[in-house]
Amino acid sequence: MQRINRWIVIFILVFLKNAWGSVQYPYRTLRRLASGSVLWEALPVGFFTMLYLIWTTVARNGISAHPLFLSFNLLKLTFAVVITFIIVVYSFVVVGRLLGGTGSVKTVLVPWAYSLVPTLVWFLVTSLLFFLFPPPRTLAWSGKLLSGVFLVFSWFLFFWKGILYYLTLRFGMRLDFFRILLASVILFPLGAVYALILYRLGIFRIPFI
Amino acid sequence: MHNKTYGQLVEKMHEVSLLPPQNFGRFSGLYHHFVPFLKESPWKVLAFAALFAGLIFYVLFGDKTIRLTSILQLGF
Repeated sequence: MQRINRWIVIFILVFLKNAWGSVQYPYRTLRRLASGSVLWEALPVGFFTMLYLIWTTVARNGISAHPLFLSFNLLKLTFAVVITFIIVVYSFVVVGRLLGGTGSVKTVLVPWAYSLVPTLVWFLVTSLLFFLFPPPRTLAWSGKLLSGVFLVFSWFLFFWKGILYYLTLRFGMRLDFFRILLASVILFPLGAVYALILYRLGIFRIPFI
Repeated sequence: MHNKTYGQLVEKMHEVSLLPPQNFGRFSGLYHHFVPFLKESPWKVLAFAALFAGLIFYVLFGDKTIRLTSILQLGF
């Protein structure tokens, strides 16, 4: 039990250190994470993602829903997130190599795992806001204010994610700026089609990428 | 002092050997001028960019923005 507690504390500290680093010193942090020698540091992200998935399953379906139904939904969501993560990592490696990059799954996996931090923050805050200030927003000044704050907050996380995406390809696949642009031209339409498929399947309304 | 400088030099050489510096031709100076703002504490730049993007979005789409945020709030 003591060992488990120690691991949980280590997980939390490593996660906080890297998450803070990804917004305060993204260049230095992602360069270290893309070295390929700290693969285990992706585990805390998996741990916190799992906690979020449990929370969102309960939040979406209600605590009083049948445990079997909740378990099925949690499994479905977890499967979709894991598969999406694997597909994205392999897409980066394949497209990166096609464009002359020299990275591998080992060098892309950890930095991309930490790019899930802004995603997690957005989904968590959005789900909490759903209960604190349930939509739809109104045209009253309070509705406009909350919409404005939410929009600016979303843009902030979107740009943060953009930086982490760029640095993942830069350090993970060792691509230069123009090759990253080219990779994005290939990856973004594929990502959009994939997101549409998941939306049609009723798994994500907004893709957890 | 000498050892520290030497260590930093070796580290830099190692970095460059793994990842060549970006080259933008005649725009390289401009790139190297702006990039430090994104390397350390980029959240300051991101906060301004987000505020600006939010404002532009509101100017372009007006009250439709409120409907969009309502939809986004259902997206978790």
